[in-house]
Amino acid sequence: MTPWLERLEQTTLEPARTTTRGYYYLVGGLLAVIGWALYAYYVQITDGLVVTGMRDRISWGLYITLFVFFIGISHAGTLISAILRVSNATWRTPVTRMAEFITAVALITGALFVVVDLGRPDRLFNVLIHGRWQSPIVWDVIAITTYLTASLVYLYLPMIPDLAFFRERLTGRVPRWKSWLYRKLAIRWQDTDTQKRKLHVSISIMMILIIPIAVSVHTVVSWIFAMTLREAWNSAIFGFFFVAGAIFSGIATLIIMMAILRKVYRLEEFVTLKHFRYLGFLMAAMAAVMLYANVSEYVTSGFKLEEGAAFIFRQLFVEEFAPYFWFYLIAGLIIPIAMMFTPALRTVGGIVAAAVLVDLAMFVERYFIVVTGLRAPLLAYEPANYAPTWVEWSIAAGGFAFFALLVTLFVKVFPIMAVYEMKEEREALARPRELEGATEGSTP
Amino acid sequence: MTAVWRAFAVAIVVVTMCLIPASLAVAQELEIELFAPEDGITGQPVEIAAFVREAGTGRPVEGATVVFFGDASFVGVGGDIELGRATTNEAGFGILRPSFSVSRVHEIRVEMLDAPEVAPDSVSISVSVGLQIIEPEAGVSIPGVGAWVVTLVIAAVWAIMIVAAFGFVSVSRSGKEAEAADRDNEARRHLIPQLSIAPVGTGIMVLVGIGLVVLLIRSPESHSNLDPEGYDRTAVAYLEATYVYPGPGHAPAALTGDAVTDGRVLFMSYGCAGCHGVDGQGTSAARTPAFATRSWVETVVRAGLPGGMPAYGAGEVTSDQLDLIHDFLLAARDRITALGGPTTTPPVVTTSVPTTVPGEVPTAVGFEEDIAPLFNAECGACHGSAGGWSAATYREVVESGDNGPAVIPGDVAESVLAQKVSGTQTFGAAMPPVQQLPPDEVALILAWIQNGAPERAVAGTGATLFADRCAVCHGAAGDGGAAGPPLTGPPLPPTDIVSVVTDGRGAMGGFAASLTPDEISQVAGFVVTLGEAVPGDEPSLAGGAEVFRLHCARCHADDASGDVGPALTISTLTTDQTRAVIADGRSEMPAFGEALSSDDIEAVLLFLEDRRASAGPDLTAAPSGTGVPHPGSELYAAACATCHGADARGGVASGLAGTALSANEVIARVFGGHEGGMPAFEGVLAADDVQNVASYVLELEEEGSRTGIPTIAIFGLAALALLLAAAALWRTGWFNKGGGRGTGEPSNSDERR
Amino acid sequence: MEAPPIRDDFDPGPSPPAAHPAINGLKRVATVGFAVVSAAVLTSLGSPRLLLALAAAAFVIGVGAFIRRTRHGTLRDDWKSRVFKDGVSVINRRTAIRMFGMTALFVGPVRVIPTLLQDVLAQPSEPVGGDPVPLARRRQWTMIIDLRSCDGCQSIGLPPQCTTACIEGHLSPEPMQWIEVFEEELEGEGTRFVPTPCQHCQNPPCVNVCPVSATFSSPEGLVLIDQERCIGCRICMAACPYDRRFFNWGEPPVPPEALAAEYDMEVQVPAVKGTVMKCDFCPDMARAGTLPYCIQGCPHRAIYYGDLEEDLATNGRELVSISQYLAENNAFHLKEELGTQPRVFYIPGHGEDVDRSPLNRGRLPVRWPWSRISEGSASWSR
Repeated sequence: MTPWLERLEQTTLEPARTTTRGYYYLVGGLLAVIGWALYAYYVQITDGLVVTGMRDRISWGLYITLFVFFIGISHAGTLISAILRVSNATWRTPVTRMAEFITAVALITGALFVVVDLGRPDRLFNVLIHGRWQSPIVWDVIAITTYLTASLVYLYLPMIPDLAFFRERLTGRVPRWKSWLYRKLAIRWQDTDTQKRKLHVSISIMMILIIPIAVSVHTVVSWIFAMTLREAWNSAIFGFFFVAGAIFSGIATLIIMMAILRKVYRLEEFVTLKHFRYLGFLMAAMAAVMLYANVSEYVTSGFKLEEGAAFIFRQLFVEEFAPYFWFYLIAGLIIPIAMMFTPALRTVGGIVAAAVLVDLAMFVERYFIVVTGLRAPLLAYEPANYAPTWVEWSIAAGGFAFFALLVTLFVKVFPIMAVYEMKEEREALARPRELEGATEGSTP
Repeated sequence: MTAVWRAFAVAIVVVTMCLIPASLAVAQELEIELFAPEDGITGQPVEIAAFVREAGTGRPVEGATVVFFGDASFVGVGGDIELGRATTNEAGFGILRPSFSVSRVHEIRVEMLDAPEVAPDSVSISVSVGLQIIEPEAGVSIPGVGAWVVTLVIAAVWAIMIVAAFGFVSVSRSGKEAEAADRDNEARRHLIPQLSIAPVGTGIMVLVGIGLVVLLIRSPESHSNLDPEGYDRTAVAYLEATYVYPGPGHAPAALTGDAVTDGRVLFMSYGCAGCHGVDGQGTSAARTPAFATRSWVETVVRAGLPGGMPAYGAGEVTSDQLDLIHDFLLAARDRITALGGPTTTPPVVTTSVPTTVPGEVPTAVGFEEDIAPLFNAECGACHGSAGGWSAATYREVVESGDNGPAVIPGDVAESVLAQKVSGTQTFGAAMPPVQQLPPDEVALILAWIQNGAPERAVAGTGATLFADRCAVCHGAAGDGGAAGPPLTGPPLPPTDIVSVVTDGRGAMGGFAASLTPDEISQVAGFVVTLGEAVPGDEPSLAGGAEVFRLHCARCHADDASGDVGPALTISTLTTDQTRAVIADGRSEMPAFGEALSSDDIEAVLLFLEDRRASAGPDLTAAPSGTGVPHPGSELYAAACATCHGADARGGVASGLAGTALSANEVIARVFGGHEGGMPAFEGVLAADDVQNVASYVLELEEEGSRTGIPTIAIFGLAALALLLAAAALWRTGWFNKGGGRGTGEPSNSDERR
Repeated sequence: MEAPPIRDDFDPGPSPPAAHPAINGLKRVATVGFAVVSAAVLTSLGSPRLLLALAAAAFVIGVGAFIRRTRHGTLRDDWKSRVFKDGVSVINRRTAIRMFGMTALFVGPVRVIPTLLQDVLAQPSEPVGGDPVPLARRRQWTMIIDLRSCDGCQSIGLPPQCTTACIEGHLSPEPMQWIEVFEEELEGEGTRFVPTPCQHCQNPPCVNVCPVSATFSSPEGLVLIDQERCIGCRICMAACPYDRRFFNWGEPPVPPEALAAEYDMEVQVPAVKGTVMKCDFCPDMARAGTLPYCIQGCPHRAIYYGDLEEDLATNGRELVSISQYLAENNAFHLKEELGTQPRVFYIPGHGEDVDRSPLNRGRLPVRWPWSRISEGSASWSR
């Protein structure tokens, strides 16, 4: 066992073994926020959606924004691990685990916001009982369920060997339930050839399958808007636009997450500046794509200025939503690109800063996409206005807290890095010795 | 001589010259004849032709424009619809090809355009029913693309995913085999449970996948937007005779039995709301009718008003309906006040009733001179013809009226007429309803009443006459004197006073000789004023409340919210029923017929209606769905069940359920028979019977098709089979490149190798 | 699902292969019988269709297994390898439990399907001609609004009476104006009033997007809503290009009598919190044989209610042939370019028939009579 491997294993085992006091403070704080959000939701349930800022004219608001946003950042995992895995980019291995987990958690959080937005959450299951396949909402239900399942499987499959590794190392050293959990989840991984082969088959199936699923998910999310007759939404580029934006914000979120975990659990040796740079470049590339998509959309509709388009452009470029829009365009797209092109800023700090900007900008973008589209008056009446109330803000905060909490709990229990893959990769780099590699893992 | 002849010849020439144009005129007399087939089918054009010819010669006229009309009626509104125009060709025929949409006998009329003197000709066409012309369509449908596409895609995706997920199972299985080789096999067997989470997790995935697929399968086809489960597809109304519109307002189904609600329905459906406002609060088009008495409502509705209020005959609005409308109006009062008072008020209601005539009192006002013309101008339109108070003759003016004599000579305060014209009425609406009289006319009328409503203007008023004729005995103030009793106190009806003064009573001699009837009536008017005003018996809200508190509140609580007795605030009784119940009692409730005067009862009714109004009307819940057995069912049982089976599942002949015959095919077969022994029922069954049976059979077909599995379900099952097959094959190691290094392998494979 | 570790009765560690075959046979029978019974119990609750599905599944599995086994040794060997390990039968209680578990695992889902499939199979195949009663043709409701005689009720000095009548008739919560009178700027100078009910599109965007078909098209071309199914996702409100859908954001402010009524999706009373509502063309009034509230309330008779199938429409006073009337008066749809195919037609105008000058702007605000007595009506705005 090489010292490198030893260090890797120790670093990975560390979080699961020891827990600082700060951790409990963090969890407590998050729980407090979630509790407050639950209270706000209780108020909303009892009084109805009247406690929100939404009204007939602007009937969607912060909730749908968050739904789109979270589904968006859920694309981090897919892209990073699946695409990179398919393209066999070896540098991916340290970050795949986090990426995949962001996917699952973000999906769950996003789906919750749809439920929060419902006027009759008690009738949620009508969607299953009376579902109409023609409805974009049903498309979403199906796509998101599929994507969630797929990403859970895809998260779990590569994790099996690592779980076995945990089982071997931690049984007895951690609380009973953890040992039990590892034993359960490691489904008798003995690292035999048969198992490797079967695991490989499953993984390769999933990594191909999950890419179209992920693309389809955010496409249908965009179709919730694009399938209406609203001038601002009625656009063919919406699907592509949303997918691009999703990957964009996904990468940003992943960068932030990486930075945090790296700092907290001292992963500097394994999650290096290289990873940040690569992801940063990816992010910049996606920013360019977004820029292109925006130009393409606004030019095509702005050139013709169909009925209502003029209003939308006015409120977007110069009036109510101008601050949001220009912040998104400049701080969210142009500045990150610029930062990635200036070598001085290609430090971890700089890249994380860019990522934060991007995430903020993408949130703002989702917001004004939803609200401007609904705000444009359809008949001869004054445009209404929308401002989220404390209830909405509370529940939104709760959503983020929930997201953070799941991540926090995850890193406590599961291996945050794909030890097994990293090991294999490194051995592959050194020289192929499958047999030893095989026996090594199996005998503790 | 010759001159005579010449003159004669000239005369003849002239005469003939004159005759020629005459004969021409006769020749230009036209006449129209209309040709049309006896029958047609809805939706199919029929050719109708108008033949225009000269009456005398019968020569066809070319280039004449004829207009065709057809009769029509919709929602009770009837009228003629112009079908179209045509210009006659050289053969004199103007041809039109209209298509009729209703199956009934259509009356077609043809007229010459701009030649009304030509007698129109008419003919009737009996149109029989065809199939639906306009089909409602909803939703997008791409041919060939349906739920099944999505279903298959999703099913495939999930099949693949589950195949991948079976990696869990096989991994864990082969893992177990590896463990089996280990030395501490026994211990491990207990440590590591046999049924690991791998199959469980996979099973859950299978469940979710199946769930989604099933969700897709169950989702309706695009056009099933038209009939989601849970909505009764029975159409609201059918076009043919199966549903006849009673017409606006005659809405029996809409009547709930709650007087106020039904009143509102009628009020609105007759278009009253159009001018009087939906609350009956009145608009600038017409004032509020909410304060009108029942009889006044009847009067106005029947007779109409000069201001534009149309008259409705008893045929249009039954008096029961008027009851309901009136109930609604009474209930509407509160709402009107809640809305800030009538939009266009009756002249402002002064709380203190003026007992003196405003302004300068003309001393000599007489009916014949001043009042009669005014009445004829202002009131005659309704009063006199339309019942109630009549403004025709003096006697009627003074004595007639629904609420006792409209005029109490000398008493402006109590005279209904005075109240009405000055807008101080305690009940009903101010008069005239459309616009108030000019002030001077009002003043005139008041003055006339004040002066004892004399038939003719005379010098001296009641007061002066009394002073110099009666005060001797009755005292100057009429409070009794040497010989005469005091006249203060409850006054006699003016007419009695008049008779007493005229003919005398007891010691009192008659003044018939010394006073004119007018003077006598004036004196009477004055005498009436002497009596202190006793509270009028007019039913009033306050009075009603009082009576209610005394007699009814013991059981029904003060606010009629019900205690021992039921709550009266929301009652389904009409006013008349309530009146009857109060008078005659009910199961527990005693009869108050004797205990209460009719006025008291009216007052109580007022009070109750007021309560109901504040409690608000119940709601009209429309009947939905139709539970009636299909008209064709018993015919089917009689004619068809013998062979096709009572449940149409087939018997001697094939079953009908589940077959997909079109309506026309069914009809064709029922009429003309079908190979295989199906007899022809033409002549056996009447046309509409056949139609009924056909429609019934179609329904059976539909039911039957429920048992048949639609394509979508097949695709669904296929998808499920796909899932399970994938599962099974993987489980049997089908996907193992190693070939059967699967679950059932003899154990320890890895170790053996 | 989890079986507690059970000590084996028949397998005390490695024991000699002397176990009597008969015992094994018994165990085998017992175990198989157990699994079969469990399967039977699970399936007995289902319908024939379930058994069919189950059989299909079993068949597939069987075939798979057969193929596999014929490729690798005989069934007998395989069976041996399964039943005996080191000459000791491994068929024991745990095996039985496992088999039961697996059976349940595979039977369970199948067990669920048919109940869910019921409605699929119950779906009638598209009826030919779409008409269950072919010889009594359905009405096809439509509405014609003659803008020439609409002055927004300026002349009578009241709020628009169509809206008021609708509110009173449907007891619709404040601030819902199912038929709302908008004041449109005319080309050049002045305005016109456009009473706007639900357009009852024949290609209704709202119906197309509804996830639970809570809103749907009736056989007579009406777009109705089932407030007892609506989940309140409000995508129909986003989809409607006429802004004619309204949401019950809180407890709907309605008069008490509304609450006494029995809910009916043709009347939409009482309003249901958290669901969407809109103009329904008063099918209940049609049943009752009378005209919708808005038409009865209209003082100028500007609104016609008609039946395209019969091609007749009336405003309560006079009768018109729809096809002719539309053609002769240049009727138009709102937002025709969207292709929603509304059932509401408009006749261009600005109230000239009732002597309204286009320069005469403004209409009175609509009032809800029960604003005072109903809770929370103030808190709703558009």
